[in-house]
Amino acid sequence: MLPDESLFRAHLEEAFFRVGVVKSKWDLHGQINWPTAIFWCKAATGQSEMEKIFLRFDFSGYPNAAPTACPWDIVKNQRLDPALWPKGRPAVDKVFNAGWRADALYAPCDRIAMNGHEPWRDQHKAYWWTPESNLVTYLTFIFELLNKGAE
Amino acid sequence: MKNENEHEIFVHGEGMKEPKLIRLLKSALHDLEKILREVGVISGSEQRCFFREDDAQELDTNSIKNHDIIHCHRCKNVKVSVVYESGVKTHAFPPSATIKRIQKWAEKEFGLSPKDHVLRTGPDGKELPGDAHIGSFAHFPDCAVKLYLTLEVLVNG
Repeated sequence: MLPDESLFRAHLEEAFFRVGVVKSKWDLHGQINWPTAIFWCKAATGQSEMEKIFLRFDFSGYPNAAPTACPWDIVKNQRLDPALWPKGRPAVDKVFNAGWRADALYAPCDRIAMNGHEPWRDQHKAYWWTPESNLVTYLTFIFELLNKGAE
Repeated sequence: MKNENEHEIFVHGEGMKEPKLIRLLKSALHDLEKILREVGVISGSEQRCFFREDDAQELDTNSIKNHDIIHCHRCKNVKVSVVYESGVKTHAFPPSATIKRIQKWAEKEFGLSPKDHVLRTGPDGKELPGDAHIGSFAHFPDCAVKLYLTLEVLVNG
């Protein structure tokens, strides 16, 4: 097992990930097929037609390189139809923007979106991916986005 | 792998950026403070107070259950001042109060919509996640934190 996968698997056992599982905020779905893995994240009613959004991640180069992720249809095992992507608040529509790309999220912790968006380093300090980030950085960004104001 | 005689608990604390997963025997709950010193989660001689997440009552560690999320701190309360535009609101919270709870209180105090704001450590500081505990940012003996409530910054550009 290469160091990136080994560290990724170790992070799945850390408190910062496990506490989200215990709170039913997120979890791994199925098996890891390195460098890809599918996670679900809770989505509050009104911001998504689903209670959970499944995201397929590519963690190549973890954690030095940021991951990239897109909404995933776990039944068809393919990218989720953009018509079913979360929508609602302007902040949600900016990130889940299939008109920009259907294979990534417009997020400061997504390696495809980060490219060419250096100002996000200051504007989104908590979520701009650095080698000290981990998978929970991305999951927290999505959770906060989709559950803002929810009970 | 956890055995049936153990509890897994998540411990937040003063100056801790992330919770720590602690496994301890159910029969050792009364020794939690000693165990946390042994594993380096707490240092110094001052006695700690324990709280469940978002609970104002001090916790009897013997009542801890599996997967409890707790906070240990030298402060019994944290004086939280929230700045919004030119106004400031202040309230005392237990160290285990989540940012989500404090933001709801602040939005109500300032009469704001509950969906479009974030709490930060400074006017341009890091956004704080809803599950963070206020005690993680407070230090004894000040036991006070100043936060800034700002509009959520959209991902643009």
